[in-house]
Amino acid sequence: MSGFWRGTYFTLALAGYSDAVYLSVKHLYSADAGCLITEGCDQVLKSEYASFLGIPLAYMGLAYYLIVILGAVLFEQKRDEGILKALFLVNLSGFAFSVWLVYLQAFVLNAFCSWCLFSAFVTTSLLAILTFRK
Amino acid sequence: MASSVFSKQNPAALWGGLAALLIVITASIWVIAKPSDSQATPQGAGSMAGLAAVPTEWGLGNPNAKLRIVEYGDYQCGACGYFHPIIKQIMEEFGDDVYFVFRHFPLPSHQFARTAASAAEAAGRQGKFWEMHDLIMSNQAAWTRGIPTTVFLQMARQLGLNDIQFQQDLRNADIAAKIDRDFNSGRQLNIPSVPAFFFNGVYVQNPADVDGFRKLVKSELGKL
Repeated sequence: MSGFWRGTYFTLALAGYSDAVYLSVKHLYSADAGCLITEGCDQVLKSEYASFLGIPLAYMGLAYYLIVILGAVLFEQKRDEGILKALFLVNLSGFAFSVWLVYLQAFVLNAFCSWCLFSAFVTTSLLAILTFRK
Repeated sequence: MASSVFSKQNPAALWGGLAALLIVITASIWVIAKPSDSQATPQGAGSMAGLAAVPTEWGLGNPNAKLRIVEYGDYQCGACGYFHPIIKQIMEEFGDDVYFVFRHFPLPSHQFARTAASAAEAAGRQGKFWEMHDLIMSNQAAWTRGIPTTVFLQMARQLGLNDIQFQQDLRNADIAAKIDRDFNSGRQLNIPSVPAFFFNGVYVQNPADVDGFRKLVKSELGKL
């Protein structure tokens, strides 16, 4: 992988991590426990799908992006192709999960959460970079 | 690029730099995303004192209870749906100590919210306001898609209401006026979001869950 793509991958992972931190803080304080008069409803973050096996998705996203960031830095250090393969599997599962979540937003909840869509975009990009790596 | 900042030759600096970066990111976002106190208590949304009483309102529980909780709610709001079972549990737990009042605040951005409020009021005219309220709140997913009036009619039949009367009342001018009155009183109170809860006339910030709600009720009852 060229330096450019390694840098892009790392930057995207940081962006995903920031997004997850934001959602986690919101979840922690439940600041979105209402439909704002001006902005409408944040029903996605309060839906029954906002947790998986009892763990809030925001926290899972946090762990997920931390693993990706650590993996990316580890690769920077060791240059071991095996790390990229492991990261590929991590991103693949993240992507599959994102597809499911976007499906829920589109067809079950009929509501979109832009912060969650951003995370899906980041994960898709991460997977794409690793899939087409040279 | 970000990765070139790290030196391969110096793993300690690499991991130390990463840890520092993550801490800075986490801390800054935390500060930005954390609700500030000024947000928590919006100006004006403080007290119901001085606001004209809304006539013929829907109350649940003991009208002479020490604590009177008023909710401004919107049937199409997911967060109101989220609080619905919480309120039910609180009412069960505290029994005669709490009186719960529901006022309509259908957000203009929710296209079916007003019709839903009318449906609850129409059922109320046949003595089944809270039954309809429960059905509408617990089946948000079912009626926000599809054609809500059809679903409301099915609910009305399920409750054994008179079909024709119910459909007429959905368009009743007095009911529309009552919803307007509720809505305008919420506007006057300058509520920031729905659901908005008032404990004995004083606005409280929404708790996160049933435990938070229970704590609020207990501390409020403790003060009395």
